[in-house]
Amino acid sequence: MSLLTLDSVTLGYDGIPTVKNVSFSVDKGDFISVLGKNGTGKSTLIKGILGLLSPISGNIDCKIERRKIGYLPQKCYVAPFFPATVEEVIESSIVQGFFFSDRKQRKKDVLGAAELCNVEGLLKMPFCGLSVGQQQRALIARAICAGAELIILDEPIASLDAIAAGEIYDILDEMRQCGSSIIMISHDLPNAMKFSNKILHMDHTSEFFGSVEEYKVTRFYSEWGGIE
Amino acid sequence: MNAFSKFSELIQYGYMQRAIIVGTLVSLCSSLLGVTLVLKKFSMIGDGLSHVGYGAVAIALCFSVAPLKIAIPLVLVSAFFLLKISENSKFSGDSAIAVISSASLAIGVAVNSLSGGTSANINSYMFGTIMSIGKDDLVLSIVMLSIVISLFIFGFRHIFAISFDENYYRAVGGKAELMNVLIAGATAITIVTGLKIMGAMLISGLIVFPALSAMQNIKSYKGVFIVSGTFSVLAFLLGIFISSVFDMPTGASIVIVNVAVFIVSYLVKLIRFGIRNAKAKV
Repeated sequence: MSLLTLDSVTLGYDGIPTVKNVSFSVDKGDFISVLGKNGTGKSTLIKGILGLLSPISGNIDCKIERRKIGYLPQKCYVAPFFPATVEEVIESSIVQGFFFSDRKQRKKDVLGAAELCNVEGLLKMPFCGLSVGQQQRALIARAICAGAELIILDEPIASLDAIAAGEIYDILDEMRQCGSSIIMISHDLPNAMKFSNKILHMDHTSEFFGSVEEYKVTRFYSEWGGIE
Repeated sequence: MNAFSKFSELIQYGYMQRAIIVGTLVSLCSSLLGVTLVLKKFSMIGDGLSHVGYGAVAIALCFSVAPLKIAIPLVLVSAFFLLKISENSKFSGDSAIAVISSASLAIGVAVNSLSGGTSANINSYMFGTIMSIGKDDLVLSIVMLSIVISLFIFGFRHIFAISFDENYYRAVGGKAELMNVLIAGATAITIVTGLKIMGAMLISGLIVFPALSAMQNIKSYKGVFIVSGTFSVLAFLLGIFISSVFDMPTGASIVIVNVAVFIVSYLVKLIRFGIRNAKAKV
């Protein structure tokens, strides 16, 4: 049974569609890379899945509780003077309960997510003082802290060097082995081919959805510079 | 008679005790609120709303109605409207604040002039006075401000999440609309109850300064909340002491103490940076 199914979904702003008739589904343990040029509606699609945009038409059937969906935005617009420790940032993914509720469990969840993303030594550090790669790892820890069954990442390695990007892929691979499903917008074709099992190619609609092997024989793959 | 004995004599009076109780609570609320508003980049909303409060009080005094009864709902509606507009990129939030702020001030001054005779009373709302908290204001202020403080303590994690990354908070199922309404409500209550002591022209200083002072040297959100609250209450108590002993205007004295706290915090930051850079060179 699919965890998430999009059936002919059209999304847009102020009633004007930017993404039309998108259909695909996510099964448990899937790692889906969403590929496509800039401005082809990938981030809009993510907003639709997260419920930040209502579909103009079509149906989004999500069998996962909203709080079990982890999300890493393309950009986290935080002022450079914002006072926040890494621990506070990771904990902010838990949006249920009040200040005093389940403190022990919350601490445990934060530590678990931090260890997985290799930021447990940075928990008391100011978030704005970290390197871009460390910030990104901390934000992935935030995404998975609430017990993510589905993790949605919008270009997580866009501003990272090869080593930092490799660390992010390792974390995602480990999450997938733990049973999480992943949807990742990416422009990194080689790593998308290496780590994903399915590809969604977007050009204002779902041009292609299928396995990596199937994708390699499409024109989209060769247009993107992939050699088969 | 030295300053302390003069102050201990003044503190025997009921109006002084009421001013200290309400003022302490207002200082605490405004500093907590200040952290939120400054980090959401809504600092000027406090200034705009204080002018709405002034206009509302002028109308209430004109019709001989208790000022808080008119001011709280009016400021609440304006607070919600301004927060909404600031989130909506189609309109410019700062011009909306400027429009509402000057319109309210103009209405306040015009109503006051037309009604005549109440100018002394309304002037106390412009710059604040220590003697203005009546017995009936006391209970209402304590109840309202206690609600605001509870919101910040119990909703702390939610307030952090919505200030740090509102889109993310929405995406993971946080009730962003509800939180924004609560923050608007807290802003309105704090400003209206603080208006009498601080005055419309100066209350926004009480909101912005403690948060900025705390943020100079503290790098965790919880730490900034605690230090900002402490700075604000201490600055208020010192300000009211100076004001009553040297017969200075209350609101102005408190804001001047807050300015001094900010300058000292800033200097401490510079010294810390200097030491750190010197160590790095060695």
